[in-house]
Amino acid sequence: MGKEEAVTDLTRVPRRRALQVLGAAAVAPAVAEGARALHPLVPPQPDGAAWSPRFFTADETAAVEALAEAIIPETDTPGARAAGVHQYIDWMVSRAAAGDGPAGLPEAMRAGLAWLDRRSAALYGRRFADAAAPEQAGLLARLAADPPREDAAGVELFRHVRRLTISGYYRSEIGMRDELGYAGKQYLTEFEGCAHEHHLDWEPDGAEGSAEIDRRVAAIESGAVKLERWNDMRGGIEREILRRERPYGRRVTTGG
Amino acid sequence: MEILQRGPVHDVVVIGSGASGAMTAHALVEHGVRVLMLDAGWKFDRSESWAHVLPFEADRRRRGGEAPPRYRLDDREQPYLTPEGRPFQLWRTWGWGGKTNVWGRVSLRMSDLDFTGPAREGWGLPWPVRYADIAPYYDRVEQLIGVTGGDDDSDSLPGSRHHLPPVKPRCAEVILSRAAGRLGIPAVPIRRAVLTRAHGGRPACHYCGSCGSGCRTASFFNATDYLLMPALETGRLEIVSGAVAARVLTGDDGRAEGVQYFERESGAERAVRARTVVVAASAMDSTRILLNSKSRRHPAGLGNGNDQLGRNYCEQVRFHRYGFLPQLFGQGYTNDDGIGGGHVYIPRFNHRLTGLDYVGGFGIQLWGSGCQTTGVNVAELLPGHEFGAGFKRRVRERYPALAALHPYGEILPRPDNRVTVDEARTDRYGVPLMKIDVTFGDNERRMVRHMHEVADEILHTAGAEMVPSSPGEHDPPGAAIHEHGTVRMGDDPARSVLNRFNQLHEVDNVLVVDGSSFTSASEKNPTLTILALAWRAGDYLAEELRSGRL
Repeated sequence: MGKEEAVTDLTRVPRRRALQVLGAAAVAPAVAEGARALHPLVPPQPDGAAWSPRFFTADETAAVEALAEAIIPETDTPGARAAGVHQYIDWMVSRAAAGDGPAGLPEAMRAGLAWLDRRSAALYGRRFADAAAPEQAGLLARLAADPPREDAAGVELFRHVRRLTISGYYRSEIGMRDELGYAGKQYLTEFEGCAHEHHLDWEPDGAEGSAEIDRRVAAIESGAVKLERWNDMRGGIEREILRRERPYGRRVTTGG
Repeated sequence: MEILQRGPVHDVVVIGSGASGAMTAHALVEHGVRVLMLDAGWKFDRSESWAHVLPFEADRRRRGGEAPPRYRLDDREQPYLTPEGRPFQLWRTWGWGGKTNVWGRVSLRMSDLDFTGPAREGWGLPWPVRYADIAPYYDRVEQLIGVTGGDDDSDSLPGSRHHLPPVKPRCAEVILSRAAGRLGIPAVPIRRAVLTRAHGGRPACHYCGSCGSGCRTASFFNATDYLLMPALETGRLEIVSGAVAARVLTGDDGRAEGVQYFERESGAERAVRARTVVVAASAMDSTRILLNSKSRRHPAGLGNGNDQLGRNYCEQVRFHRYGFLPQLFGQGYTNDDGIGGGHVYIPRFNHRLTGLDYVGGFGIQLWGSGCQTTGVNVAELLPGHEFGAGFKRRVRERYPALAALHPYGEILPRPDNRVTVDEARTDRYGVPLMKIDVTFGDNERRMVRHMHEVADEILHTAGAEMVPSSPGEHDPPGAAIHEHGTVRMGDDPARSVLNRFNQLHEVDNVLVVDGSSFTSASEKNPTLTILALAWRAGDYLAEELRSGRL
């Protein structure tokens, strides 16, 4: 983004040139690969070392990583693990443990993770992080069910991790760009708007030349059916009458 | 106050540099009047805006300790009080241009439905002006600042010949417009103070959609670039930055003689002398300043002999209603940034209906439809606790398909919705804090119910997959950032604080020109009307000064 920041005032740069300069910046890689390895919301280690968890133990980290990946897995695009969501969750929980975040979150996470590995061992004979993907998904399905089919400790853990995985993944560059194709905040010379004929010509179901609407309009106009408050009705009949009686959008021809 | 015995007497001292103060000052210097302006902050540097910093890059910068310009005043620096259980969201900007640096930019002309409605429907004071009084100023303001819009013209939303070209709607907005149209609810191009072509020597919008971060090219109206800088160039405007106005000072005759302020950083007390004072500190802070301007002649605050100052607060109630449009599922990313916010507006239409169980109107914005939102929002709007590859696919599928409706409904003025000051609680300068006590009433609850019904009906007609909501939910008071009524205008001096030219009934050399002067809120975003009234007040004040009446 360095080039963009160098142009501090577009009004002082010829517009065409500004767009060239800034357009080039917009398509350039935003960050080096190294920076991308760390989740954007997680501060680097103070000594510049590789990331290591601030709150979770190594076993807990493995479980959180597996949970996040099971919630948003790698498909045709990278999943939560590649996006560093476990780093983000660790950071958020460590902040909560330091008093900056929801009270009770660290305790709920720790208790939930202990429950998770116990339950996984009982069901599959190994801790959650080492269970096969279908096994992990099977346990999550029991936690996600309505009503849940597992202990409250596990359900609470799942909901916390799911919420944090969503915010961590879809705020990361992988989640925004690779997964959703985000390419906003650009300098454009035109805004094209919708150019899809199937949208511009779209009509609500049954709205075109409906004999039912014509029949009911006639009934209301004849007084056989009382005109009521429009939202008590269904089918847009009153609104059709209003539209006919008060054609909208007359053009501006005089002052004002 | 000894300090007032020295120093020059300024013809006009303006408190506040936002839309209203800057507009009045601009009008005054055009007439040759010299103006001293006090602002509680400093000039923002729009080249420092993070408008083009991608979201994850912004996260990295914040993580590294960087911060974009702080447009929002930290409430911890200047607290305000609310009663237990009655929250109020107050959004203040201290600094040149005020909230116009980051405002929503929706620019709607009020109509005679708005100006006459309160009296006609029997729920409020009549406005002392009519559309014909204000229309010439709407014309001038629109030509000066540049407003994109269509050629529509209706009884609830008067048209204009001065609009810049309309902006094209996004996919979701096309479908929602057609659904609304099918219901007999007209949808029109949004009117927004955004330059859809170069205007007034400023470059056209570049459609980054990040207006809320402040525009690097001044391609939407902000008071600094459009009003203060030209006014400064005349040599007749002087701005004192970092000056926190506290009180209008009055003499033995009860008339204003100057303004007391505190240097924001040092806390030092200062005062300037004035022949006339224009109060434009934004609605809540202007009210606080007047309430705190107590004297022997004005024991309840300046202009408050009739106990109307601070009362009759009004604004708009709003909420967000969402659905996903199956027509757009899986169409992939579309750059829907545009001019930021909705490109389509549904003007008030309920005055054409019969049998309503409430009074007042509402309009609907289509703020945030399509790929303007984030995957976080999309994922959180999906009901249930889904996970896995199917969940990930459903989020991607729905990402371009968000349909967002934001109805804004009029809150009626009520005497007990009010701002007061608490003598026992003071800020860092020893100035009493304001207390904001606002609740929504039965009329609002009934209107909100109808607003939900209409929004749901539009979404249903569009075939949307509905995001669950509860019928009565709405944002808390203050969320619309459209505060009005506490220093209202009126022809009856017993029931209003200002006359039809924004001049205090009780003190002729004080004008209040910001949104607090509105007699009623209407359903419309107010800034265009604030600018029109402030310009008109500036013309009036210049003539009063020239003629020697002031």
